[in-house]
Amino acid sequence: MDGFELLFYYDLDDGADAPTPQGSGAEIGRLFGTSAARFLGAGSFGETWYLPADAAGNSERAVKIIMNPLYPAKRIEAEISGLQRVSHANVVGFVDHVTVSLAIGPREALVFDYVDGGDLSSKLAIETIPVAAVLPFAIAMLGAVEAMHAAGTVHRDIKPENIALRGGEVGDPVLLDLGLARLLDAETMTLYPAPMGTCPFMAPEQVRLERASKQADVWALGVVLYIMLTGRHPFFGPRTAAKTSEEALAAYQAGPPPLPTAVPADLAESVMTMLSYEPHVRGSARRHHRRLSNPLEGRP
Amino acid sequence: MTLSSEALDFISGRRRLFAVHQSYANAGYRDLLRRVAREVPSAALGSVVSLSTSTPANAAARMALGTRAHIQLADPQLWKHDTSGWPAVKPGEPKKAFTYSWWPSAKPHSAPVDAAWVAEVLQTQRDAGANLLLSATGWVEPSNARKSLDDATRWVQASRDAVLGEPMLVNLAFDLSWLSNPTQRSMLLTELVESTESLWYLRFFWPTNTVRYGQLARADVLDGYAELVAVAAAEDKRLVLANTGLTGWVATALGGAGLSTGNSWPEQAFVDSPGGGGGKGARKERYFDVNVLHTVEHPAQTRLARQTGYVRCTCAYCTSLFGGGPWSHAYAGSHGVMKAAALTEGIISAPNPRASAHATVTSAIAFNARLTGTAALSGNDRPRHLPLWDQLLR
Repeated sequence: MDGFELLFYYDLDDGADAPTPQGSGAEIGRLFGTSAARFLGAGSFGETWYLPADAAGNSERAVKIIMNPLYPAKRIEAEISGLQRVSHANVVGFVDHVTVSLAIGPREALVFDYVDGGDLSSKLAIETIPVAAVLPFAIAMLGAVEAMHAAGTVHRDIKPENIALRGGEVGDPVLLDLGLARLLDAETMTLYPAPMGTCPFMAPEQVRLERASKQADVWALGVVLYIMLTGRHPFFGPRTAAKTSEEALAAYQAGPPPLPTAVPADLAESVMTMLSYEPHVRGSARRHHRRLSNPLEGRP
Repeated sequence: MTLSSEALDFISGRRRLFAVHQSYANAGYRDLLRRVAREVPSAALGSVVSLSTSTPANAAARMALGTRAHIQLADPQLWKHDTSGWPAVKPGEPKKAFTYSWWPSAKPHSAPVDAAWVAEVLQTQRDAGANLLLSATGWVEPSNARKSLDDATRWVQASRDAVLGEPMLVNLAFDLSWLSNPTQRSMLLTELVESTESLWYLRFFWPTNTVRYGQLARADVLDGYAELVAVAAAEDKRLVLANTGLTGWVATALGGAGLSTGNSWPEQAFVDSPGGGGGKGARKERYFDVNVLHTVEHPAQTRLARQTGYVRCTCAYCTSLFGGGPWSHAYAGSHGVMKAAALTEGIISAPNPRASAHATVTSAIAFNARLTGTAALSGNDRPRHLPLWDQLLR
């Protein structure tokens, strides 16, 4: 596919491939006037660090430093604009945008509220989520995505690693990294194909390298919910059984296996609808949010 | 702008809209609206005036005839502009009739957004007396569909930015391929799902060979209409099908938020009309016959009226039409609007609009099936659309 091949599989994160940061905790802590920062994780374009509360009155924060100098400045500006428009309890709070001088040169950094409690990916790796806990999670996440979409912001990289659990509670998720996730479109995939080998949350239109927008977020959230309800990916197995793009699209068109009967009917219907091949059939986050929040709405 | 409770009910999705276009020859419009209001009390009543054939003073005067309506629209009809790409555009003709300062500087959607121009188009609607604004947008080219839709969306956004919180209908005109072609249809439906706009006023350009005063008889297009209104309803969006006549009635039964129609053929359908009575020769005497849900020629109607089980219309226009005087095209058209209103009331006041519409269609099919000999409808009088509607409404 245009010179690079995507592979589709889903393995739970066992921490074996933990990235090594380019920055140092002492350096980043000093730049932000705190004691040593703690490395939280890294993505394709940046690193996230924990900043403890400081003497200046700042509470705990997380800072995402754009390490890749090729990251377009205009995108950062556009995404900050999007972040500033979204205010929702289940969307991470945006604090500031600064330029920091690292040893490797100046880098853009986005500062967010820090959410303590780990992320959904880690939770899924160590325990099974009770079905009863998924509905409040779904309602909270759909509300977050609805708010983001209403503000004209598209995430494009919703996945368990980007969902923090406030206080470790599944029912209180916080969507992270919105904005930076815009990188996952056809344009940037062409620029940066190498890190994009595993894409288990990509919607069909993203696999086809077509324009992916709000409905790609609905798809990704549908995949997350399906995994939470079943413990397995709706379309893909482990790395050893990775699928090509064509195989992935064929699996998408065939549809996911049915959900267990123990899943409440409303939730099951929403999740299966969100995993529809055609974007418009998935329904908006707003529609599913309203439906699950008010089960009687729209019924005869 | 102060809106009535009925208008607010439409905006919030509690009422459907039944809108009547005001013909350029507007004699009797005020009376027609008064009568239509009685036929369709469950709907918000709409009045639509075209700005493309009006001077500012004339537009305001015409709008004043529709003050009975809960919702008053002043449609800039931007698809008529000769840069729009609308295939039936008639260069020069609209310019001659069009006196608004913004008309000469109208641009295709592919041009950069001109916020000042958009604001002027919206203000003109307010000046004319509109109480619900239409976005300053027009024809969406079917070629290079993705880009065309994105371009149109930019102008819709500019209109949204300019209305400063007032309610606004997204006003777009499409080729039928946006309903029949699966790729284009999916794009349009996805836009409908993803958009934050909740009010939509869409029209689809019917083929030139559509039988005048008839209905579309293409299953693929009707399926497209059905999916469009179903998606809109599921997403809690109000989708009004403009200039869609009785096909809009079917769509309303399937979840649409309403329709617009009018006395004349170009008001009943978005078509390329040569104007006048239908081309060469004398204008045909036509009558919308609710017994077959179709507009037939007067002689055919006369034969139908002799059939057992025929239900005569008792509206004021029919009393005059069949009172022995010369045929009145205006009265025949107004009768058609009245029946469309009554049919709309029939479905929107029913607990199950779809089942109600299906019962009406089934009844028309049964009546038509009983016609034999010279009474049997043929040619353009034959209601070819009924079996398709039957399938759609099952």
